[in-house]
Amino acid sequence: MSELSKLITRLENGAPLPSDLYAKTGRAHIVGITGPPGVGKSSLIDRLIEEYRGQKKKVGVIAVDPTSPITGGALLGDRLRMQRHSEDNGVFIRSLATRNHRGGVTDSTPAIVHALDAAGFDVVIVETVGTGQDEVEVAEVADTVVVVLMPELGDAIQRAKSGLMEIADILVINKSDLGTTKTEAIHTSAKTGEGIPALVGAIEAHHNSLVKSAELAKRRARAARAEVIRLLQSRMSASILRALETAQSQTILNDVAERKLDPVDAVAKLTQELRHVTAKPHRHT
Amino acid sequence: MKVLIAKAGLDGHERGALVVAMGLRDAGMEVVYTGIRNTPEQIVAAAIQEDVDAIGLSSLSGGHMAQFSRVMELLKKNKFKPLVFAGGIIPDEDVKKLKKLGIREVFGPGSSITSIVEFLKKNV
Amino acid sequence: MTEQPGKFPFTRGIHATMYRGRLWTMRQYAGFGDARETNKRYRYLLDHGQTGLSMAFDLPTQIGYDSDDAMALGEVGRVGVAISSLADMEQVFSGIPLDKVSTSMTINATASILLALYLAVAEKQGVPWSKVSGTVQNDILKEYIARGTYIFPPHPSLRLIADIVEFCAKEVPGWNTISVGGYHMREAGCTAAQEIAFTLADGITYVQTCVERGLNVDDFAPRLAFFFNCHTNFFEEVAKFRAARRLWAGIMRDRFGAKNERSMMLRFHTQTAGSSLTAQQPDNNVVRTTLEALAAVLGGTQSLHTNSKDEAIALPTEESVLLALRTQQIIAHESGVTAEPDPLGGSHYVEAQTDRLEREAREYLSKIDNMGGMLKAIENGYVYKEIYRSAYEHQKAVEKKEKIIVGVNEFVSGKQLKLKTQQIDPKLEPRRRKELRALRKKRGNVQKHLATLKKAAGSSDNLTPVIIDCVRHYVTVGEICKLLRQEFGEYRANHSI
Repeated sequence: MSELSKLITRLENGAPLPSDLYAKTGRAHIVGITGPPGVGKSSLIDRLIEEYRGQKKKVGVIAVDPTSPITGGALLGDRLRMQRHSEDNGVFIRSLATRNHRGGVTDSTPAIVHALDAAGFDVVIVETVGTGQDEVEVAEVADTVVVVLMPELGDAIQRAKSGLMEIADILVINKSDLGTTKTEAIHTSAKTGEGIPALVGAIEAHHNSLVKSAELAKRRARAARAEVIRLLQSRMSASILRALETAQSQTILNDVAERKLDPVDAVAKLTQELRHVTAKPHRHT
Repeated sequence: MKVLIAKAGLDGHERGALVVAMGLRDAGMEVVYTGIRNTPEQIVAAAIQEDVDAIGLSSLSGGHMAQFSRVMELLKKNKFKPLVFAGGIIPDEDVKKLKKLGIREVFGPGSSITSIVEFLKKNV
Repeated sequence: MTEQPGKFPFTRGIHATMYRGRLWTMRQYAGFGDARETNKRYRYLLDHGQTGLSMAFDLPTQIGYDSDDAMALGEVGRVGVAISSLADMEQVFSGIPLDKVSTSMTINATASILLALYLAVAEKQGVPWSKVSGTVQNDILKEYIARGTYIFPPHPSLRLIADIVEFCAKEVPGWNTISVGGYHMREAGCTAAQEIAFTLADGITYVQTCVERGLNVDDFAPRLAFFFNCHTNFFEEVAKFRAARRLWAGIMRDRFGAKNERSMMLRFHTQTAGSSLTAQQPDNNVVRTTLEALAAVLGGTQSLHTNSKDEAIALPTEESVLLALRTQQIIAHESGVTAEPDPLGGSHYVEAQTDRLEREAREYLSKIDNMGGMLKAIENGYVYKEIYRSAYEHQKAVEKKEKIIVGVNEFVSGKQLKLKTQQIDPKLEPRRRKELRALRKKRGNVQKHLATLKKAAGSSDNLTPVIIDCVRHYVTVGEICKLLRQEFGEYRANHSI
C-alpha cells in the first residue's frame, strides 16, 4: 500500500514511469467518470466500489479536484464520500489536484493509472473535475467513459455542452430519487442504491464489447498516442519556458514589447535559443 | 505540501477542522478532509494512500488520548512518518502527553491559521 | 408603535406581562461521567436555586451506542452523562421527584429512547405521565449540518420525530416535543439572519411532517419550542429574538392556518454563545456571558443557560457553574430589567435592526422554499456551504484584526492563566463495561421485545410505546439502535464546501 502510494507521489511530481512497469499494464478496465459538479460523481463511485467489491474485484480510484489558480492550493473533498472503504485492502483511493494543468485530469493521470493497473487492480476509476475540457481528456485515458448528469439540470442544457454526448459510452442520470427524466440513460440514485447493479452491468458489457470487437485495441492505441503527445508537449513547454529565461531571450521579448521586433521574427530567433536548452523531466515546485 | 485534516471519534463539530482546511488551501496546500466519525484505522489508511506530508487531528469531545495514541501507534506500525499536529479542546496536561507520543504541536482555542501555516512550512 | 407584548405577532414578547408575571427558567446544561456524578450535580444546582434541569448526554448515548461498544472508546461520560439503560436513568433522578422538576434533554437521534427512559422512571416513581413536564430537543435536521449526532437517514428520522409529537399530544400533554435549534448552526458560524432563517425553516419542515401525518396543527404546535444562541453583538441579538417571533407567528397563522394563538407563539430557550468564550484570560468570559444573558432577557427568552468561564476549555467546575447561575439571579432580582416587557421596544435602533433581520431572514426562507424546502437545501449542500464559508470569513476577519477579540488578538497579556478544570474519572469506561455485563445477565432474555420492535419499525405504527416497553425491560440504548440501524439504514454525510 505505502510503496504504491509513494510511487504515485513521485509520478505526480513528474517522475517518469519506472521502466519495467509499463509492460505489466493492460489488464485493468479503465473507467472514466465525468459530468458537471454537484451531480454526485463521488457518491456514485462509493456505490460502484461496494458493488465491485461484492464481485471480489479490486478497485483503484483517482479523484481529481481543481487547484486554485490564485492560491495554488486545493481542497480534495471527493474522498470523504468514499471514506468507508479506506480500510479495505482491495480498494485504493488517491486524491489529486490538477496543479498547473487546465483540464479535467492531470498531466500525471495516465502514469498513475498505469501504476494502479500494474499493481493488480481490476478496475481503475478516474473521476474528473467536471469542467468544460474534461470530457475530451478523460476519453483519452479511459476505456469506458461514463457521463453523469442529474434530472433537474435540464437535459437540453447538458446536451448543448460540446463533446459531452459524443464521448459518452454510458449516460447516467443520478439523483433519480429527486425526479425522473425521459432520456435513454441509466437512472441511478447514489443515495438509495437504485440503478447501481445496472450501471456496473453496463460498464462490464461495454468492456466486453470493446474486447470482442477489437475496439479496445484501437482505444488503447489512441490513449497511448495521446499520452505520448502530452508528455512531449509538457516537456517542450518546460523547455520553452526555460529558454525564455535567458538574457538573450529577455532582450528579444523586450524588443517585441517596444515594437522594435516583429513577434514572428522573434519566434525565429527564439527557436535558436531553444536549441541551447536541454529539457529535464518536469517537476512540480 | 499535502495535508490530511481528520476528526476522530464521535464528535461532529466541524467548524474548526473546516476553517483550518480552507485556510491551508488558501495558503497553497493540498488538503484532504475526511469528515467526521473516522476511526484511527481509517485516518491512517487515508493518510498512507494519500501520502500526506502532515496530518491534523481535531478533537473537541475529550477522547483525544485514546484516539490520537491509537493513530500514532498505527503510523508507527506502518512505518509511515508524516508530521502530526492536533487542535481543538485539549487540556494542558494532555498536551505534554501527546507530545511525548510524537504529536509535534497542539493548537488550542484562539490559534490562528497563520501560525499553523508557518508551523507547517517550517517543520515539514 | 402598534405592536404589544402578548399580542400577535408577539414581536415584543409572547406574554403581556413577561417577567413581571413569571421569571424565565434558569436552566443550566449539565451532565458528565456516570449517573451517580450527574445526580450529585443536579441536586447541587437544584439546592442552589436552579429552577429546571437540563441534561447533557455523552456522545455514545446520543449516537446510539452503549458505554461498552467499540465505537464508544474514549468518549464515555465525556461531554455528558452515559445512559445505556433504565438502571442508569433511575440513578440520575434518584431523590428527584419528576412531578416537581421539568427536565430538558439535549437528545436528538435517540430522543425516543431517552424520552421512553424518562417516562419509565416516572412510572417507577409513581408519577403519572400527565404530571410530567420537560423537553426533548428532537431536532434532527440541524444534526446533519452543524452538530453531527445523526444516526438514520432523514425519512425514518422524521418518522421518529412525528411519532413523539403524536404520542405526547395524547399521553404527555406537558411535554415539549421538539426544540428547534439555531444555537448550533450559529456556533458553527452562520450569521444572525441565517440563524433565524435556518431555524424557522427546520421548524417549518417539522410542522409540515406532522400535518402530513394527519395531525391538526393546533393540537401539537403549542408544544413546539425553540433554542437560540445569544451572541456578542448586543442590540442585534435583542432584535434577532423579536424578528424571529414576528416571523414565526405569521408563518403559523398564514402558512399553516393555525387558529390557536398559542400555536403562533415562538417560545424559546437561550444559551449564551459558547463560541464567544476564550481560553485566554478566562475571567473575561464572565463579562461576556453577563452581556449575552442580559441581551437574551431583554429579548424575552423563556429559559436561559449561562456559560461558565472555563467552558472554552473544559466542563465547568462547581464554582464556575455557580457563578454562571448567580449571573442570572442578579439580572433577575437586582437589575430591574424585568419590570417591563420588551423595554427596548420603540428604540429607533432596535426596531430598525428587527426590521432588517426580518427582511434578511425572509430572503433566506424564500430561497429555501424555492429549493423545495429545508431538507432539499440541506441535501444539496446549500446550508452547509453558507454556514462554514461564513465561519471562514469570520476567522479571516479575526486574523486581520477587523474583528477584535479581547485577550486573543488585542489586549493580550503575557501570562496564560491556569484553571482547575473538571476531570473525568479514567476508571469510568472499565466500570461501565462491568455494569453493563452485569445488567444484561440480570435482566435475562429480551429477544421478544426486540422482535416486537423490529415488526413495528417495518410498519407505520407509532414506535414510542414500543420503545417504552423495551426500556421497561432493560433493553439498552445500543441494542435498540442496532436494530433500528438495520431497519432504517444509516445516514452518510456527503457535504463539501
